[in-house]
Amino acid sequence: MRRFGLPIGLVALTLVLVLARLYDVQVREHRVWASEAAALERSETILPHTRGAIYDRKGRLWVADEVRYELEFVWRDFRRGHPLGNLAALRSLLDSSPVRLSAAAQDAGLWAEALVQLTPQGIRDFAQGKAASGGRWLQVGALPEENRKERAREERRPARAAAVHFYLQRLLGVTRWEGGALRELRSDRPDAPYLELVARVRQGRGELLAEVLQRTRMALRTRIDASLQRLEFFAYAVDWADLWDPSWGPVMPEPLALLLEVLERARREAEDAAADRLFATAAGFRAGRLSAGNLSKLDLGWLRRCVYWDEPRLAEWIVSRGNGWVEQVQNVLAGHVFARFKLKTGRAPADRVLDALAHFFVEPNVRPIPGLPVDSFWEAFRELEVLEELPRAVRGGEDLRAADLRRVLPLEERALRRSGLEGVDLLAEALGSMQEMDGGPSWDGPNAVLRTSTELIHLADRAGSEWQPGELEPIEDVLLAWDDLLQMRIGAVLGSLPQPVAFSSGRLRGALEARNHVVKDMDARPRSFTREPSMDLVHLVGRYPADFAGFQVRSVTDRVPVAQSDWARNVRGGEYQEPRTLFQEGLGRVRSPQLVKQLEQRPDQIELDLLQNKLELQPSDERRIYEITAETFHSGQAVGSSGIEGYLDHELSGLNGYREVMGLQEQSSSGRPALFRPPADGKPVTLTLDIPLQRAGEWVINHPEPAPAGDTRPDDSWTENPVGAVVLMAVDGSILCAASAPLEPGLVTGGADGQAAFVLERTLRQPGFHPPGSISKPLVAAFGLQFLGLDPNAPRVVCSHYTERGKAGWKKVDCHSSAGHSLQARALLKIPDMTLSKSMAVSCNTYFAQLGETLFDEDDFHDLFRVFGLGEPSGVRSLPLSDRRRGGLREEYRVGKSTPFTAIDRQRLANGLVEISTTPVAMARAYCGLATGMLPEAQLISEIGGRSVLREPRPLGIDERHLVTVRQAMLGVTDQRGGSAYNKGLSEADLGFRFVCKTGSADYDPGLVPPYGSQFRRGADQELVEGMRKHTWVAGWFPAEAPRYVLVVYIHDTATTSSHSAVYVASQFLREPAVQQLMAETGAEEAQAEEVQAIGGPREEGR
Amino acid sequence: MRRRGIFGRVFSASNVRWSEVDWHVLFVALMLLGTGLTFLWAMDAAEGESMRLAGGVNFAGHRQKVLVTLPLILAGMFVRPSWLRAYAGWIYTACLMLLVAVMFIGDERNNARRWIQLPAFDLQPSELAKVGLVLMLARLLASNRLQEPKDWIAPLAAAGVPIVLVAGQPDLGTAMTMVPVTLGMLYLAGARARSILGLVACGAVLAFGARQAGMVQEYQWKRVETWAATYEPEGLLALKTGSGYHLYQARTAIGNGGAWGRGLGQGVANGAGHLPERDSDSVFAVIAEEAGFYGAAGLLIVYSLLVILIMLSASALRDRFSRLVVGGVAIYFAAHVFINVSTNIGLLPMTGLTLPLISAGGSSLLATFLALGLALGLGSHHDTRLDSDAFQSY
Repeated sequence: MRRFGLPIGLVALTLVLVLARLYDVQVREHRVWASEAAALERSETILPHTRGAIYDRKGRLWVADEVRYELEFVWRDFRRGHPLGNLAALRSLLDSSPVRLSAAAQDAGLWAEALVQLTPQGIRDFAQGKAASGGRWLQVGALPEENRKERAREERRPARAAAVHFYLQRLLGVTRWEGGALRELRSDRPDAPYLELVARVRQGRGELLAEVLQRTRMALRTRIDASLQRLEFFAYAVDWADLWDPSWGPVMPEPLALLLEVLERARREAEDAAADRLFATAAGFRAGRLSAGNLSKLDLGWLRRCVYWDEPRLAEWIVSRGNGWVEQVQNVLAGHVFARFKLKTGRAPADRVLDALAHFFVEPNVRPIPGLPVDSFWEAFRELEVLEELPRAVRGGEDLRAADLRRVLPLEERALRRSGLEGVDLLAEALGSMQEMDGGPSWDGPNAVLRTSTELIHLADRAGSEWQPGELEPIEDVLLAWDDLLQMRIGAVLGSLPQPVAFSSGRLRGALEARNHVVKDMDARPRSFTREPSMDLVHLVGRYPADFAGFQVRSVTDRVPVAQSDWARNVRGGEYQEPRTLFQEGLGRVRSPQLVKQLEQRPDQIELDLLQNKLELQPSDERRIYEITAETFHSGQAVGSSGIEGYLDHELSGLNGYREVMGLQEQSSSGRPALFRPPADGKPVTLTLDIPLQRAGEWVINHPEPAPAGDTRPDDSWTENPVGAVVLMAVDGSILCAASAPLEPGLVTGGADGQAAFVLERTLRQPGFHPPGSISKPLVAAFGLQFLGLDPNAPRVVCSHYTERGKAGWKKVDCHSSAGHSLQARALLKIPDMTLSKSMAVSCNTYFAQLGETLFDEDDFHDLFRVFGLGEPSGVRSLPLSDRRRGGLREEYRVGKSTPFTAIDRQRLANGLVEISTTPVAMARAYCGLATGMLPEAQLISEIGGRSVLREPRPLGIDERHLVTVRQAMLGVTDQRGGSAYNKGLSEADLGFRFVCKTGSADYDPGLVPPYGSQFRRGADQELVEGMRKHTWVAGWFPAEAPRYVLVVYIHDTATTSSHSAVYVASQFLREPAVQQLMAETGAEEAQAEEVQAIGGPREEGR
Repeated sequence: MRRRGIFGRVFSASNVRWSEVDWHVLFVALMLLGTGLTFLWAMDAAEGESMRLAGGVNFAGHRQKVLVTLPLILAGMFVRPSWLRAYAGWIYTACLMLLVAVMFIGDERNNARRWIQLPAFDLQPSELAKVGLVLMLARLLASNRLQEPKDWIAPLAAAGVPIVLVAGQPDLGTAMTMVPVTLGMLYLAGARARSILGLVACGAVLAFGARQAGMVQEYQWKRVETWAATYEPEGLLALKTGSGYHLYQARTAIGNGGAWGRGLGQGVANGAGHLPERDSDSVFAVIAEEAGFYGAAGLLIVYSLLVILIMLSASALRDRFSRLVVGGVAIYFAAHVFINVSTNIGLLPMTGLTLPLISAGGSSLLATFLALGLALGLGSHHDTRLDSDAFQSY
């Protein structure tokens, strides 16, 4: 017993020690670990909201979130589950090189025959480094005899041999039960080919082995043939136009070849990703942080063996990774730097710039708080990524001198930190060292440094978080130049070590230990195959997963435009065109949240993580969780970036929901039920637009009919490349159609300003200068009648070339009619004969110029603009909504210059020339006022979340009798011979209803025009001559008797006048079936209203 | 005299004095086995289908292994002490051969060669080597009182060879369990405590030297660093997704159990399924979580009881070889339990080692039942021939 006393005592002592520690962990630290356990056990899901749908005025769906399918490809599943994948994997294992799928498909049958001739003993020999053979088609060489076993281990032959067994069984379709029997047979008959072993397993009582062997062989052949056939069938079901890659060349290969190419690409991505991870495990930094030259200095044989590559494939990886930093800088990092220095941190712009630049060179492990948006200050810049790791990562690294690893970037200089410099001076000093670099990218001396520094400061200070084209270039330059410095130092350090530089054994061991799960992880990650699979493909993959191993279907939510324009369908015939949403530019687009916004949410997300890890949640914690998750961006989240999507983003976006799953139990240990809040979907939005009318408008303005054959001044080049807009507005301000052209960047042929190349929303914007020309004359007339005592019947002026001016016009303003509008006899006697109604019908510039100069003073014009709502927001953005900053839906409403109007200005203003600019919507609104006496708010949105946001019009302030006078005067435009729209397809006979309008043309810019007059030959390939380009308009309302709708047509940058351009577009639009249908509905509504009135009258009387 | 066959020469049921069998030891051992089966059943039952497909806990497999290996208790009980003493060297050599063989024919998993594939289960020779070491040391020390320095050479060499081979697999955890077994048996054989402490000090100096000379693998040293850094909760939380992952999962489960536990199958270790090796090396974490501090403490007390009972049984034996074998088995149990539990609660760096009688694993069960059978058998199987040492008092 004496010798056992001490051991027993030790056991007792140990027990006490262990119990004390256990008490520590289980009782004293219980709260800590219980909280951690709760976080482990609980899983949280953010339930994404659905963005509100957008409808047209009649409730027809325009845009909505829609669940669609994506097809993904998982290389691991294909490799293990598809016979072709089995074959490629087997050959890759045996050859230790990535055997291509196309090669496997080409000789699939022969390869399979050869592979199943492998014997267990042959595979064992292979594992030991000896040769293995499967007949003529399969010869695997032996490793050199010297140190063969060691080499075999290095080449991972034992592991590869084990995998060969696995894939042979998969190739032969061995079941689980058969696998057990096969394992025993492998020991009993090591020299029998695999095919025979499987046949023996499947051999039934009384069956001859030869028969079963034949059957197994046939089954294998059938399995492979069928799998290839299915793959080909699958390939034919893919729409390759969606997946087209420039590398395929002009002639598209066969579908199966394309499919195999795409799968091969996915496999390469998986292999590259595995190699990246293994490298990072061994090195402690990403391979992309080294240039190709520096990567080549490393001994990467182990990596090649790990992923079963040959030397060329490894070399390819080195090149691709070596360029990784440059690519990342251009594609990602420069944007990240920009986003980082846009974040408000209370630091000066120069410091923010340096913080953001430095961030990408700092050793990640020393970043103080990795989750925070700005997590490193340049003054704390100490350890450089890569250089910090090298001493531990490579063999002999411990001997590297500290001096080799420091002072690479100027930021590390102590003098800079103590200099007290600020702003541009600080940046110039910090970036200055790059001038010394040989061949630094686009670096041309001290001036360049100063310029770049100034640009970066400006970028950091500029409002707005989106970068403009070209703004990232200075950032890219700095990042690349600093990286060059770093690479030079790394190159020198690696060069001082024995070549090739080997990784330290400990690091290498860690990477080798991780090899299996890294390869499994990377191979098992789904990669997108196509974002728009046909339903056939979805059905195939979903219904027959075993036949299409490797493919899988995933559902995603997308913003889908339902209402599409006729544009693509009709204009290009059979040529494929991207479908275009109606009112695309006005409706706007959605996009992923900006990087700056995402980074700004990081502190909230860190707080959310902390809250989620708390064991017991207070009510305030729960509220905070709901609050944060409600607006946290989720994967695939879309935010409105422009147009109505951007303007109403707050309303269209809903709030995310939150669901907590408590693992095995319904409640947490604190008795709290699981948190749950359903998502609140975004509000639906109803537009005032009408889909058929919008479609008609887009069609007409983008495909205007050529001017009639008899027209003497057509502009066919504009007709071929139209730029302009059509607005149809109900007199209450509701915009029914707001169409713009072009819908696709067009050719800049005849136009002076190249606007044909830009796709814009043009009904609310003024790209360039937009004088309305003569369509402003009715407004001038109405204002003159009401406020300035204009007598409509009193002749005011002679419009003739017989006056002292020698040509028709008033002082500085020429009349569009070179002969003038006065009667010759009157003109010769200089007796004024131009009245308002006559001038309106013929659009006499002389009359209105005289009117502007003599009747109006400066304030009168400002009052005129105010009365008709020109120069103020039209109302489309004036909704009664929450007070928050809103982007999207841009509107421009400048009207004239702010300096005093001179007499000449007033002459022009009265004719809508030079000094005035406006938009089609603004003019449509003004014409609503003219037609009804009430000036409405222009409205694009009628309801948000079921609540009407329509606003009431305001009185114009002009007596009805004056308006009637103007309206009467306007009738002549279409009805009177000599009217500017007479016989232009706008008469009641042409349209079926009476359209009251005014035409307008305004000089825009000098440019090339056809030689009109006697030299003009339509259709002839005429040389253009210098002339004046114009904007032309038609504005009017219909039906004339009871105005319901206002139409404004705007033609941008044409060679001719309204009477030869805009009038035809207006006529074409008004003849569209959708407009005719609108008029029919309007007539029916009015008839119904009259009927109700008729029925209601007698009843009232009877009371 | 009737000539015995091979079986008869190895085994004998008639020499077992049933009345002297330590039934209480067997009872305690079976109680622990039952506890293990219960918790493994609960683990299996708590798993979802997806976890099961991903290769979760297999209670049916464990039960089958228990049924297959349980007869080894009887084999251990019936083996003749004289045969055991005579062939201890051969058994030890066979174990060494298996350890060498595993280097060549062993299955490589996670860059370690520890297993030989057998039809029923994969054999881990290092588990058997521990039993072989106990027998060999008992054989060497049966007539060696370690009086002279040269007396230490043979037992230390006998222990050193399997330790080096196992460490080279690499399986440092199993190799480390052989150290206390060796030291304990040296003490039982008569070595002075001061000498043992000196040996430990030498070992520590050698380990330090090996570290300085760069002979310790970086990942092994990293485990030590991780252990030191993660003793306190803050340190462990900081490393929970990195090198401290396994420690974190184990500590979270244990700490989550609190005083009274979460209930059978209700722990986060089972619920979340993140705890690695929860049916083998980390089974104690699961038990501590589901049974709480009092349950886990009870289990440790029962284990201590088992060890002490075996030691008491050994102390009552007059046959020096038998006494050393049974004592060695007790230390073997004690070392396993202490190391396993200590790694889970952060008293020692993380290493892979099973909890005897409870963890799943065919080789562990095989070695444990064999050792237990030897302890029971030698404790009761009094040979008629007594060696000279039997009459000497300590």
